[in-house]
Amino acid sequence: MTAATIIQSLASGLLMGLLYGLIAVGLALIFGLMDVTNFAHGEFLMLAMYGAFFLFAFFAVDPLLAAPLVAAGMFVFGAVIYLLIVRFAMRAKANIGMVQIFTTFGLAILMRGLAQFFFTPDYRSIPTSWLGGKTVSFGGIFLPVPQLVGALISVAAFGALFFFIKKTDFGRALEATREDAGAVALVGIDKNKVFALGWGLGSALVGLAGAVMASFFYIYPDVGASFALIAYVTVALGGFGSVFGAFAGGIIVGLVEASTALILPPSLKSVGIYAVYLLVVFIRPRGLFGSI
Amino acid sequence: MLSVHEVTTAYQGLVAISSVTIEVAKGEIVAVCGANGAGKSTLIKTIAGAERPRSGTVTFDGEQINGVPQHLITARGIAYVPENRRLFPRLSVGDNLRLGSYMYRGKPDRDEPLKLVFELFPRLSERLEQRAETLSGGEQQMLAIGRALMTRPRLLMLDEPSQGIMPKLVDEIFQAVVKIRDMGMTVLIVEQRMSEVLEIADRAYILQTGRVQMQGNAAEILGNPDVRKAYLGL
Repeated sequence: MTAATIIQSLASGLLMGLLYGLIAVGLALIFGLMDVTNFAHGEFLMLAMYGAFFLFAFFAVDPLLAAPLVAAGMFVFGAVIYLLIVRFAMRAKANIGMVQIFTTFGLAILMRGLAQFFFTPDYRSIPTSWLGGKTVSFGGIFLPVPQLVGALISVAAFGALFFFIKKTDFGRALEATREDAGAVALVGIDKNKVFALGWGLGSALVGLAGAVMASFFYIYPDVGASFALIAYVTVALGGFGSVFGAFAGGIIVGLVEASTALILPPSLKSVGIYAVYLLVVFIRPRGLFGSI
Repeated sequence: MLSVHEVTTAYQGLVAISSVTIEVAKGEIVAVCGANGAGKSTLIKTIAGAERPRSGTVTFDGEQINGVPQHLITARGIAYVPENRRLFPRLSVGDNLRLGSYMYRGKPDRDEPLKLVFELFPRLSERLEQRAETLSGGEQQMLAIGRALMTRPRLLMLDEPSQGIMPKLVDEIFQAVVKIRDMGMTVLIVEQRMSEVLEIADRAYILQTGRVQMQGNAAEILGNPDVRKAYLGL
């Protein structure tokens, strides 16, 4: 194993990690806002990937161009899911935690079933795109352009989210609702609107990730499952509900995954992630950047 | 301005206030007093829209407001400072105040009430960057009132503003309430510290086990020998 191989795989790991972060940020945002874990998060990713695929297949829209469209569509989808389903699940008088788990878990199963029925279980892919198949090299390290652009989009999206939360009125309303959802009515804010906005935003972020990933991953109804599992680990690693933590957690997961692949056979590449996760859970159960 | 007519509110089947009728006229400070568990907080929560009455009506400026969602009641001009203040603890003092004027976002004069808030509570202006949770109890109460004033209320409702605050600051807060009234707002204040609040109030209601026991001019109630014996220990 040479230094070049190590750097090469860490660089690829970083790129993948930034995407893991982008997937996880949406999950962390929703959880932080209202203590609801969206167990359909992977299926949201799957839907976004199909969105990019169909835009390509029917309208020849390049995934890069499709990304903002898919993100906008997912924003609406997420807000509607909150308003039509999750909102009612939150009114449960007893066992509210269980009700929320079963609701979003049920939604996941429904979405997968519908995808299998309407989209068929076939593996799809986007064979040609503007960036597809291209690589760039930096001092002997080769990076695939789609992944590199995906990573840059992820950084940009995170920057935009950070600005939105810290600098805008809606962002401040989001933070206030996160602090005390029962108190925002005191300043005239409708918490249901903020929750819908949170679901929209979280879904748009995973939508962006899905559209980017559609150009270099196979698309099939169960594709969300493995990424969702990583997203839950990422969110728990970074600290539940911490948007910054989820992003940092994503990068760590990407790097750990790449390092494991260097040492162990590729089929065991996930072992490292779960080992690090267990370590964090034992030593710092609230996650690396968690505040509770 | 505000009229609560025959309102009954229950919590999980237990009646907390029953057939309560009170009136608040524009420009008044009205105090609602009574022992713990008399239903004072329930009354104020019912007006604010945080609790729904089982029967009766709440009318504000001629319009019925019971049944209106809480955030829309705030928008109509009733600001409510709850007993435990409900600040946004990890946000800064400045952000808490700015959230108060959230309804006026995009308007050029959005932060106009800020001058008034700093005039009433100068120490808030020195702590704008601090997290709300790092303030003392008295300062938190000031911030809660300040945030409420940022919503530009016509009626300000305070639930036990003196709770958990050192005596010197209680005085400061009560003096601020008088100034707020003098600026043209109306104040409804729920308070257990009867003798102090009756000093600043125009009229008062005394609640006992969920019913209005006595009502009238604050000075008269303060001078009533029965009240002095039963509530003030004099």
